[in-house]
Amino acid sequence: MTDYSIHALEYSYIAEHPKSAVMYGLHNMGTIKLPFSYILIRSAETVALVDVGHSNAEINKEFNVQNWTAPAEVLAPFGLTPEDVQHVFISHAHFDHMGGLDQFPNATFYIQEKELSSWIWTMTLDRKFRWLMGAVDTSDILKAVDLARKGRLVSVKGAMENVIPNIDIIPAYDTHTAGSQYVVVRNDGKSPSTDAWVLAGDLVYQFDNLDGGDPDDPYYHPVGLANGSQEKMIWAIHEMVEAAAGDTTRVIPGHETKLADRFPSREGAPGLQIVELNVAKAHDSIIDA
Amino acid sequence: MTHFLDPPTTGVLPASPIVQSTETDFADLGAPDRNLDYSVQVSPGFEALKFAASLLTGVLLLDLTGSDRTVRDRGLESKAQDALDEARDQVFSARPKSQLARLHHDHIKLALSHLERAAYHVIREANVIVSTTSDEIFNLINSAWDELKKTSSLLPGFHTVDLAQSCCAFHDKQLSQAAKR
Repeated sequence: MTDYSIHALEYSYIAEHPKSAVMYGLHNMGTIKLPFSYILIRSAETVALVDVGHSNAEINKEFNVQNWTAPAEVLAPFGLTPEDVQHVFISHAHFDHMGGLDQFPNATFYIQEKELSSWIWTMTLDRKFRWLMGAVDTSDILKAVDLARKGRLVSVKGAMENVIPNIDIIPAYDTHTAGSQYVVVRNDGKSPSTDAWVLAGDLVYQFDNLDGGDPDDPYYHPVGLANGSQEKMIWAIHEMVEAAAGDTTRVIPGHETKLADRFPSREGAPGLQIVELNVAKAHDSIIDA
Repeated sequence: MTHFLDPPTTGVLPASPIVQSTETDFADLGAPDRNLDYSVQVSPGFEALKFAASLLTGVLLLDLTGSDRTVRDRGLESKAQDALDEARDQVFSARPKSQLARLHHDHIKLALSHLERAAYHVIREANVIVSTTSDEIFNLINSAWDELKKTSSLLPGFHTVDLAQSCCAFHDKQLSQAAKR
């Protein structure tokens, strides 16, 4: 059985982001801090990431992204370098999730075929449809092509169990994007698992999406941005909660500042959090290191 | 006899060589208005080149990943060629009036040249992944994109990254407007 340590690594943030972008329909509710993160998954033999952040400095300037930190520095507290990363699961093609494709020179990347083909299809449409290209940086396509030429881009069709031992990638089509996917880490090696962690990408931005901000009478509240259907997003959230054996604390959102309140955490690079979700037997906690 | 990897003999414009820019290149920059006409003239061509580059790269990606053929059936190649035809018209009708604009124009022409050569290969290959030209196509598109990026730093309004439709951009605008009120 493979046991994985899991850490959420903040690499930058936007200081003020409207609440309505996080919780669909909640207009005029002010702004929140929106952290940008990727998730590190490690075993004794494996180093993997969910998403890779972005590396385009033009974006930082354009959107006032704060404290952007390079992967080498983000990974340093773990004694890792970007070269050590072997596998990357891309949740979807938005710039803050796959813009750093060129930062991990030895990794193999897994993305849904539907995400790629939908993205390219959208490019062929008339300018009137350009909203559908929102948050996609077309220069990332060149990076993807380069990876494909080198045999390091795996175009996945549907669910893929045990991509690496005890890690599954599951599609959530026509939700946040056309070909979004989430990652399930089954630390007990069983399926279904009672010791699973679900890494949601942007299918869940924050904990409030899981309980509507009302833990006493919870309901699923979809995120504010969906190229697909809010209804499908709600069903995807339900599916993820079921994959976590009903434990919503094991469904890890993509942009949640409160992760650091719920789990052990420490500062990594200045102003950025490392959140320790799980520590495998092969590792020590890095929180007090 | 020409080799199939040789550049096509027709449809390729001669691009003048670009020398490394120095401060003296910018000496005749003058008033911003001096470049305004040129910027307005060449901007649609720049956008068409970005569009063509994206489509040609999309063709490569779909082929390399064995992705959905129905997307290819939507005519990516012909749309790319249409965009290049449009770009050619716009680029060659633009008249740079300063040295800076001429440098900008040279980069744009080089991008057009690279993309036209890439399109020449793509359109003539049913499936570029089985072709030895895929590396050539990738390198040409990459070179074109580099040229387009160089134009971004020369004159305002030429962005290779266009995330104007992203939620971050919308909210950034809203926050800026709110701050002004």
